[in-house]
Amino acid sequence: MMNKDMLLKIIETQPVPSELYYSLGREIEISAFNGSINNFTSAETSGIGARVVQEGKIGSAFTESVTEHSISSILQRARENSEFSASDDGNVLYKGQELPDSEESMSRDLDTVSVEKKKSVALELEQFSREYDSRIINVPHAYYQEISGETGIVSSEKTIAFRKASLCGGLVYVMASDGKDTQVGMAMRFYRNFSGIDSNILAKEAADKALSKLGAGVLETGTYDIILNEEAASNLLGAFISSGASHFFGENIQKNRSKFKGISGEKIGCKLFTLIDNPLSGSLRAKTFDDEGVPTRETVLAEDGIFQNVIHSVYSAARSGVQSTGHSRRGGYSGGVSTGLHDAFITNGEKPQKELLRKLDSGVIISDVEGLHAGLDPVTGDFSLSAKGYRVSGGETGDPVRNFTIAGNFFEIINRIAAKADDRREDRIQTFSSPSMLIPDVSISG
Amino acid sequence: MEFSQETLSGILKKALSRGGDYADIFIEETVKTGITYDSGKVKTITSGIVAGAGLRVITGTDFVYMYAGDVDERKLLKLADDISAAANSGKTGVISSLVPYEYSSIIPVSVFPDTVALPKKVEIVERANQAGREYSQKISEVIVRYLDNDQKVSVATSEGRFSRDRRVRTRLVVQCIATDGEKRETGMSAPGRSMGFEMYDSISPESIAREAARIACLLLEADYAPQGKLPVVIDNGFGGVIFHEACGHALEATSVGKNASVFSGKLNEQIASPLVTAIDDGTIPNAWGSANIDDEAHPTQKNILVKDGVLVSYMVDKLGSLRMDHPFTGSSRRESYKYAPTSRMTNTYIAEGASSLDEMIASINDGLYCRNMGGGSVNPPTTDFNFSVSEAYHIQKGKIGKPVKGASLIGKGSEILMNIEMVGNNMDFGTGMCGSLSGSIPTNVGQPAIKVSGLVVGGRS
Repeated sequence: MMNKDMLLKIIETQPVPSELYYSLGREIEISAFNGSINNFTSAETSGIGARVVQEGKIGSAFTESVTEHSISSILQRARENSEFSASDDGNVLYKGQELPDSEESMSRDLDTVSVEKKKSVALELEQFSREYDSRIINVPHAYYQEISGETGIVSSEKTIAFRKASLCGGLVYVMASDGKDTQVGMAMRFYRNFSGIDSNILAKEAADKALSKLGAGVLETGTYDIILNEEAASNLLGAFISSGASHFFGENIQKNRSKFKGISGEKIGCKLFTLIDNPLSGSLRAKTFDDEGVPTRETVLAEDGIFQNVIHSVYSAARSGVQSTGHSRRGGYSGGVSTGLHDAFITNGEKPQKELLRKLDSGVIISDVEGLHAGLDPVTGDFSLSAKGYRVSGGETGDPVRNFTIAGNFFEIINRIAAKADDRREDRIQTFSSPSMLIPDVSISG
Repeated sequence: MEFSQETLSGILKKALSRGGDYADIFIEETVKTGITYDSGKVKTITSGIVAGAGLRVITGTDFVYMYAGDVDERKLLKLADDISAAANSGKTGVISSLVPYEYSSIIPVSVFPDTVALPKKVEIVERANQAGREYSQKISEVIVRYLDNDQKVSVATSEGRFSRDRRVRTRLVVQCIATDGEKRETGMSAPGRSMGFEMYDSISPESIAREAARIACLLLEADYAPQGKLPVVIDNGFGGVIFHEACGHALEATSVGKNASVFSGKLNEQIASPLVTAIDDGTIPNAWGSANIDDEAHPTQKNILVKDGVLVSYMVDKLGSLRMDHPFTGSSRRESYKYAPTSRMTNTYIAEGASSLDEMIASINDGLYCRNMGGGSVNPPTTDFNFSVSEAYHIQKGKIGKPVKGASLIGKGSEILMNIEMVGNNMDFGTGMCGSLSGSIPTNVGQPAIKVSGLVVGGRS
């Protein structure tokens, strides 16, 4: 690992409890438009974030200059910042240990693939999308992307944790038109290995999404039974479960921002609501230690609708006098430390989505929810979101519908899951995934 | 670190040494301070420096972009060598000598953040906390984020443009949570300016906190918003997010130049109600989205986008102008050196009309009055947009009635722009952050109150 010895040397000489978070990132992005490579971006950047704790007060600082001199000066700056901060029982550094360097999240083949082959992914994404159907009129975005890097955490409290990781993927965004109506579709998939990328699958997914929405009609305002497909369910429920304001997080419970205060062992959802975070599944989000160097493990948040475990960072764990569950998240070297899930999911049901449609019989299947950054209130759980989807009648997917909103409340939704399918995607890049689910009586405005 | 004109000139030449029509370099050093206040005390104070350079070579309408942090002359030359190897078209365009562009700053700063001692900054968040809590006993929590940014940039292009800019920005974000029994509601207020610490002379932290507290307390009394297609009055300030989402993004060369906008090829056509004149103006003194130069070293300018409902200009950067045969509009922006620039909005607003807010309300039998808005998003190819409402009231029989909550408003921009039936006379701006291809950048949205029909109100009752 780069810079490990330098970081260890600096941390040994610190006068107060100190931590350094180091990251190095390499990025390649290649995009195609109208049959040629219209953008090639490549970069390598690194930075260091320092945190110090003095008398229960924490201060932090960061720099993009990874030299002994710069690191010493941000440690000094962090100490100055801590003087004007307030004391808090949670302001402690993790009493850690040296962990083995982690390289299991490294791609096996990325370094051996030529730039030309990577370019061809972007070109194929555009070409295959255009060729898929004559109604695909434009492919504004077709990208190949790869990210690799190193992260290291060292502290005066004996934490030494370093990992390397890399992944690659593609994104394609298409426009379809039948001469009267225009619709868009996007597909984005990431993989550990280059050999996993299949441009045909991505192109088909994006094109199908756009084409199937052409000629979309409107819905009458009213109350409908709906299916949230796996993508819509993952995005909507993830915006609550996996956000910084998540009611499952210890800090939010301690600060009276959670409805789950003091309800361990109580019912919070219906029988089908089982929620697990498993950072050790080998998925794209897998991590053997969190962003403070705490080893991770599987945590059950809710089982059969019963609340099980509070999610803790070192900060919230210290405030509650318990052990961290390994859920510290850091927004890179320049970001603050907060709580975050790694690879959380609602467990699959047993039957395919087709069975859910049969069970729904008539209603709406929601394929897209938009405006998630603004259209929901993480404190109350209320949401009102722009949506797209398809009518369902006689248990079959019918005509597309657009320009409507779905409105409801997260806490009501998790109590009213009438059925769930077996279609959760384990390859999502986001930290939360869900199978399709059937929810009765949802307010739709059209 | 500041590089000389000669050094930058040499870098551009090297970048184009193996071919390419155009090159530009963007060098940045941004000093940031952030203070988070939570549960009645300072939670964290962080400070840091973002410093690096981005180098771009354009050939035809294709480009290569490379960037690196912590640059010195040696690293820049290496970057120039790497990019020339990647661009490598064999044919080099004209390289003009750099001519410095001088100007008198439209964003004068009297108190630079680095001259203010940390305890003074902490005092601002403490004042906000106290004012929020004193507003009402129902305020159970005040969360404050203090932010200041001091960005120094140098931009040079092979077309000979060369300029430096210093962009200082100050913002206070206050969130108040009001509690009444089981009910909990959040209100937010977050003004920002291209100013230094003197912003707090004209906008007090107390006034920001009281506004956030007022909204939180009001929402405790609110029912869910109505549903369906209703006439809506969207008030001034952050209400301008409707134009930003419904139209603004679809006028950026980023989408227009790729024929991925519903407004591609629509210059000189009627795209909005004749009552609508819309402007993007990067030159408003000390406004949140202003700058002296854009990120390709063009002076920022005041661009009339829509005049009396007719589309008269797009927002266009270098690449956009190559794709669209449209003049530059000083619209090239990026979050940092880690992003290639593209066409973006600055301070975007609907110009004043003649109607009063009272007239608009009085004209509606059953509708919604939106006083404060949240964020939104849009698909430029279809202009299907959405945004959320953070403070709204039911209008019944021409009068403002009960507060309502939890609504989003959605529609198709190309249709909704035609449905603007009245434009008010109370123009104001609201502060926002806008995310797109070149990262998250500060933008102002603005408008006077407007009356719109045909929006879908996504309530629950």
